[in-house]
Amino acid sequence: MIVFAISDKGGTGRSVTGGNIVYRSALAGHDSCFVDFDFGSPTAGTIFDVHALGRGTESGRGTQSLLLGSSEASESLELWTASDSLGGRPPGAGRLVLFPGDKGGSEFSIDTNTVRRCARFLGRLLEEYELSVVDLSAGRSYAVRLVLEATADWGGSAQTRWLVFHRWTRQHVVAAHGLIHEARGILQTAEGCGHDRNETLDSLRTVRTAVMDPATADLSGLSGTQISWLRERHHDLQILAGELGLGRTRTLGIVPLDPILHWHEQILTEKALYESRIASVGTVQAFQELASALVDRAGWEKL
Amino acid sequence: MSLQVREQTLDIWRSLIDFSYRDGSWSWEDRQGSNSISDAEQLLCILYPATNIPVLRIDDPDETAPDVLWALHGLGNDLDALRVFTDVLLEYMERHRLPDGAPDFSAGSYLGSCEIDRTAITPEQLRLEVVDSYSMSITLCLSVLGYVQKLGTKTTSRRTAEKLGRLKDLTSRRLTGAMEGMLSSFSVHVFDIGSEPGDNLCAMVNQTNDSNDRVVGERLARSLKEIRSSLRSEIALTRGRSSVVEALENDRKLLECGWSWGPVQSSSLERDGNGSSVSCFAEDLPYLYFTGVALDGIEDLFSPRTQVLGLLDDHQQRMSSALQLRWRLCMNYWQRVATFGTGRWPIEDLPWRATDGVESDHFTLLVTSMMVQKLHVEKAGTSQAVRLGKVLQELAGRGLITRRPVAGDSAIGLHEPGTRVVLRGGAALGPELTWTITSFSTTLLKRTIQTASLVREAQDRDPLVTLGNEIWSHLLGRRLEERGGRGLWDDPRGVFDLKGRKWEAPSWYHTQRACECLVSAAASYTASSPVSAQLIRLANEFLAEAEHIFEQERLFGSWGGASGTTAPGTVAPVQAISATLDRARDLRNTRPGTAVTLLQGVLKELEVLARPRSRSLTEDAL
Ligand SMILES: Nc1ncnc2c1ncn2[C@@H]1O[C@H](COP(=O)(O)OP(=O)(O)OP(=O)(O)O)[C@@H](O)[C@H]1O
Ligand SMILES: [Mg+2]
Repeated sequence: MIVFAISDKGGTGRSVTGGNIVYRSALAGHDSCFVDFDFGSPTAGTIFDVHALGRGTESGRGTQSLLLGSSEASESLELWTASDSLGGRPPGAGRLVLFPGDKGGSEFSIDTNTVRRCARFLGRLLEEYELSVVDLSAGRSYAVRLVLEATADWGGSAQTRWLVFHRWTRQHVVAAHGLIHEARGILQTAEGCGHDRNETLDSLRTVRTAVMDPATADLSGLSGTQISWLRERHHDLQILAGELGLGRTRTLGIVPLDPILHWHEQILTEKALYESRIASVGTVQAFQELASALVDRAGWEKL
Repeated sequence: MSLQVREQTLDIWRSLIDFSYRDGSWSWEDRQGSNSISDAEQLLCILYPATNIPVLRIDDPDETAPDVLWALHGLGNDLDALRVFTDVLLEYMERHRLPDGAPDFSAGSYLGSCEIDRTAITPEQLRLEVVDSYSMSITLCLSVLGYVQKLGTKTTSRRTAEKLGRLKDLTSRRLTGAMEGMLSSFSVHVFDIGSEPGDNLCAMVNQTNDSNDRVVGERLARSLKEIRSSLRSEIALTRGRSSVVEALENDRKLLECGWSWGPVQSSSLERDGNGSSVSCFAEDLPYLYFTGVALDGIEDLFSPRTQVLGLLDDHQQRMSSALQLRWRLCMNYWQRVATFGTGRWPIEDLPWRATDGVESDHFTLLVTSMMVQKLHVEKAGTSQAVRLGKVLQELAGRGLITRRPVAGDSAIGLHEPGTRVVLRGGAALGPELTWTITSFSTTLLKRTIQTASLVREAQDRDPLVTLGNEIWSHLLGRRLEERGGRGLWDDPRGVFDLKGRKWEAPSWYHTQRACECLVSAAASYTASSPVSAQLIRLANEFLAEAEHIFEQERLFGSWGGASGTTAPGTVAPVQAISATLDRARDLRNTRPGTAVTLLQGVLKELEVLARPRSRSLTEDAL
C-alpha cells in the first residue's frame, strides 16, 4: 500500500502525522517506510530525530536526485538504528525506513523520464513495504501530478491511497475541499492523467489534525459562555465539513491537539508513552487507528 | 416534567443493545419470542427517538453527538455502529416476508387464546395480520426511509450504498403493504337506536337526564349527519361494502367507526399486485384499542417530516390521503360522542361503556387518548385540554398509579394481566383468539405530557406536570432489575404486590411505549415554553423602569459624558448595561423570567449611580 500524504496549506501536521503513522505501522509488525517528496522543505530528518539529516540529505542521493536521474538509487536509512531516539528495533516490529529529500532542493518540472523513474521507484516500494507514506509538498504541486502520472496505468486504486490533511478550522476545511474538488485539484488532475474520478475519490480520505474537541478537551480554564461558544463552532464546522464532502464518513482519523507536538515535531514513541510519560494516550491511539485503518479494508470503508 | 430524556433514552439504547447484540449477531427475542410487531417495536426503541428527537439523530454522522454514538458502541466502535445498525434494519425487512416476497404482518406470538393452552392456536391463526403490525410498520418504515435518505447522501462506501438501496426497496414495499392493510381494516358499524349497541351508546351519551335515552340518541344521530355522508361517499369507493353504504343512508341510525383488529371480512386485500391475497377474517366492528393504534400510525403518515422529506411515492400518497380522511372522520366522530351534550361530557362519566356493553377505565383512557391526539395535532383547545387533563388525573387514581390499591383491588388488572379483548372472527380458523392490552400507564403518560403542553396557564398546567412526574416514577419502578433485561420494561411487580416470579427478559411492547413517552416529552420541551401573560407584563414594567433610569444617568453624564464610557469605581461600563437591556428587550415575551432577572441586575448597577444624587436631592428639599 502506498499512501500519498497531502494538504492544501502548509504546517497542517502532515509530516508529523505521516511519520507517526509509519512508526506505528512498523511497531505493529509491517515493513514500513516514509518517503520525503516534499522537495521544497524536507523535514523528515527532524521528525525522526536523525541528527545528520536536519534539512535533508547532503549525499546527493535524496529522492529528488533519484527522480531527476542524477542518482541511480535513492539513499535509505534504517530508522530503528539511524534515529537518535527510537532506540533499536523492538522484537516483532517491521522495518522502518526513511527515504530522505535532498538538502536545498526545490520544486522542479517533470518530463516523461521523471515519470518513468518515479513509477519504477514506487513500484519497488510496493514490492518491499507493506506501507509506504509518501509526503508530498503542500498545495497543488508538481509532485502531485508526478505521482498521478506515474501510477496512471496501475489499474484500480487497490494499491494507492490519498490522505488529505487539514486542521480543524473553517479556512482549512474550505481549503481542503478546494484541493480535492476544485480546478487543478486532485480529482481533476487524476482524471487528466487517466485515472477514474470515482475510483480516486474512493481511495481518498481526510485526516483532521490538531483538533480541540470540546466534548473531550479539558476546558476547565474557560468560562461557561466560552465553552458554549466553542461547542457551537465545533458543531458548525462539523456541518460545514459534511456539506463540503469532508464529513465523518470521508474522515479516516482525527488527531487531537497535542501539547507535545505543538511544541516539538517528533515521533511519539513507546518510550515517551510509558517511560517518560510525556505523550498523551489519545494522540497515540489516533495514530495507531490511522495506521491500522490504512491497511484494513473494513477500517477504510467504515460507512 | 423532569424525564431526563437524553440520559434515559441513551440508557435504554445501551441496555437494549446489551441484551440483543451478542457475538456479532442480533437477537430478536423478547419474553414472548419474536414476531413482526415485537421486532418492529425493538427497532423503534432506537429508531423512534433517533428520528423524532433531533439532538439524538443517528442518520448523519456529522451531526450525531459523541454520547449518542457512544450509546450504540455495543454494536461497534464509532461509525461501525451505524453500519451494523443498517444491517439489522435490513435483516428485519428480509425476515418478515412471505415466501413470495410480499411483506408479512402476522401477529404470531402476540396472539392469545381463551383456551388455557396457548398451543391450541392454529398455524393459520398465527399467520393472521393485525392492525398493530400495520401501525408499527408504518412508523418503522417512515423512520427507516428517512434514515436511508439521509445516510445515503453521507456514505462513502459502495457496499453501504448498495445495502441502503436494497433496504429502501424493501421498506417502501412494506410500507405499501401496511397502508393497504390499514385501509382494509377500517370499519363502520351501523345500528338502530333501539338495538343493544344503540341502547349502550345512548345511555353513555345521555348525561343530563332531562330527557330519555332514545331522544338523546336521535339527537346524536342527527348531529352525525355530516360524518355519515362523508363516510358513505368514501366507503362507496371500496368493493364489497354495499350493505354498509346502504345502512349509512338512513339518517335515523347510529353508527360507530374506527378500526377492527385486522382486515375485515367484507374487504378484499391483494398485495403487491401479484395476485397473492390476504385472508380477511375480522368482524366488521371497530375496536377502541385498534382504532387508537391505527390513529397513531396514520398520524406519522401526514407528519411534517414525512411531507418535507417526500418519503411517499404516488400510490402511497393516494392511500395516505384516504387514510388521512378516515383519520379525520374517526376523530370527529369520537369527539362528537365523547363530548356530546351540554352538561357533563360522556367521557367524564367513568368508566366508558363500549357498544357491546363492556365497561372499563381502559376504554375511557382510549377515548380520551384520541381526543388529546386530535387537539395535539391541531395545536388547539386549551379549555378542552384542561377538562381532559382532569379525566387523565382521575384515571391515574383509579388505575392505582397515584393511589394505593386496597386489598384484592381489581384495578391492578388494568396493568396485570391487562385488558383482554376477543378478536371476533378469528375463531373461524381455530379456537377463540384474544388480544391483551397492557399499555395503560404508558398511554396515560404520553397523553398527560401532550395535554400539559396544550395548557397555557401555569396554575392549570402544574397538576398535569406533577401527574406526569408521578406516572414516570411509577414506570421507572416497573423497569426490570434482573440481569439480562436490566433497565428495560416491564415488570408490574416492581410497583404492585403480585404473586409470581419476577421477569428477567424485557418486553419490546412496553419498552417501545416508554420510548414514545420520552419522545413526547422531548417534543414538549422543544416547543417554546409556555409563558404567563402576568410575567410578561411584569417584565415590561421592569424594562420601562430600567430604561428610564439608564437614560437619566446617561443624561447626567454618569459615565463621563460623550467620550468617556466607563464610570469610575465598580460600575459596569455603559456598553455592558446597554447590551443587557437589549437582551432583556429581546427576551421579555418569550422568556420573561430571564428578562426580569437580567433587569434586576441592571437596576442594581444603576442604583449605585443614583443613590448619592437622590440623597443630595433630599437635602436640597430640606
Ligand atoms: N496533533 C498535533 N497537535 C499539535 N500540534 C501539532 C500536531 N500535529 C502537528 N503539530 C505541529 O504543527 C506543526 C506543523 O506540523 P508539520 O510540519 O507536520 O506540518 P506539515 O503539514 O508537514 O507542514 P509543511 O507544509 O511545512 O511541511 C509542527 O510544529 C507540529 O509539531
Ligand atoms: Mg512537512
